[in-house]
Amino acid sequence: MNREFRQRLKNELQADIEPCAAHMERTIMLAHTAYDGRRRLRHVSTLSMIARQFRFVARPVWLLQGVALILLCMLMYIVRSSEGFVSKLPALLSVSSVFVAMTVLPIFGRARRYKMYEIESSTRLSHQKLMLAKLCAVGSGDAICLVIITILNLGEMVSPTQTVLTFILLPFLLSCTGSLFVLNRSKEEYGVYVSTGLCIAIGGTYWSMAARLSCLPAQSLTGLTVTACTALLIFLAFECRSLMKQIPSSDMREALLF
Amino acid sequence: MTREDELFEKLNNGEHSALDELIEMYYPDIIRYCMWHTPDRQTAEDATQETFLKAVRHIDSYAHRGKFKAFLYKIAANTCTDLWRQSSRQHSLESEEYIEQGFENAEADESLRMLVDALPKDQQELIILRYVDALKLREIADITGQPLRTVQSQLRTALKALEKTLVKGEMNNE
Repeated sequence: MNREFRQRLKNELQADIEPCAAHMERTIMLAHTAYDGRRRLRHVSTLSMIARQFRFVARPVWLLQGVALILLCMLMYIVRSSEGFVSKLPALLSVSSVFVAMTVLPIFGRARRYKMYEIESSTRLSHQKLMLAKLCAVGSGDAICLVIITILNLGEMVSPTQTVLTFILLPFLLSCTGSLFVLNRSKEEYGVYVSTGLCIAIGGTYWSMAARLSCLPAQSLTGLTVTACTALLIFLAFECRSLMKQIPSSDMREALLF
Repeated sequence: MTREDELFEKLNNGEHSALDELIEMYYPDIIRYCMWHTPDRQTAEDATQETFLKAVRHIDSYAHRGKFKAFLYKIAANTCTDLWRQSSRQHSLESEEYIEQGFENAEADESLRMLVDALPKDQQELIILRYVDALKLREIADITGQPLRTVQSQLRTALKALEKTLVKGEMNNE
């Protein structure tokens, strides 16, 4: 690029505009009034922030989880009277926990699909805290669903601790971690479909493997499951952290909204 | 620590005089930018004032990381667009008035200005930010929200187009 041309552009376009001193003084005066009368931002603690956001964030999440729980309970009620229910219970429980874990997908997928970051930034809240509120809402809802499913089927379980660990907690953690892993690494909508596919694959694998897993020696299976669950919990914590951190600062987006 | 950082620290410590200096520091840049995006000087001054008032009203939500200039330019761009829309709704613009009130000192440069005006909007914006307001490429990238490489390549394209048109015009004149 011609250096002379760039110099000419600078010389000719940088017209010498003398700012009007009186106008600048008036602007400063008005700015002081605006500064004094501005609505100050209040500091809200993380806990209080999450509790306040539950009103908006948790309602659709819990509604979805409630519907999922009712469907699962209905299914179990129907299947309970059939023959060989006890032998099929581990498979049914693992698929149920995968189904509960899948309720996370529409929540995070929707924000991606409709590019809701801008709307969220208009609330001027910290994205990290907002995401944390969503995670807490999803997590608490999931926990309640899993506890209810466990309590409803506790009487039918042969070895309750092993069943809960291997057929409820492990498939749930596997599905959650896998879904968040995929969602964190795919910025587009297809991430939701890949995660759904992954959850269906985990559910399918558990459905076909549950009977064989039940036959394994209880002690070794429990030890293995505890180790796997601990590792998955650590991995899940990292994935949650990266999900919260992936949203950039909203300074410039806030300016867009003025 | 830059002067801007010091001023923000003072402002956070309750020294309101820092606000005066902050406005004085950026007022000439913002009014120069607004002159390019509004029909006349009066509107440019209104836009500049509105820009600073908006920035001050929302200064608490701006987390200072040395990008206050980009923050101001972004607000100025939106304010100018709003004012332009309002004014175009109220009355149609007269080009004579545009030259007399807006650029009274720059009659000689009118051909180059017209060429810049003829560029596509996004390229025009880059030329203004780079050559009228003398901003760094990094600052332009912050304002436009584009990657640095994109700003560089778009600026190069705009300059080539400008140069080509200018050379063509000069050859025709000869």
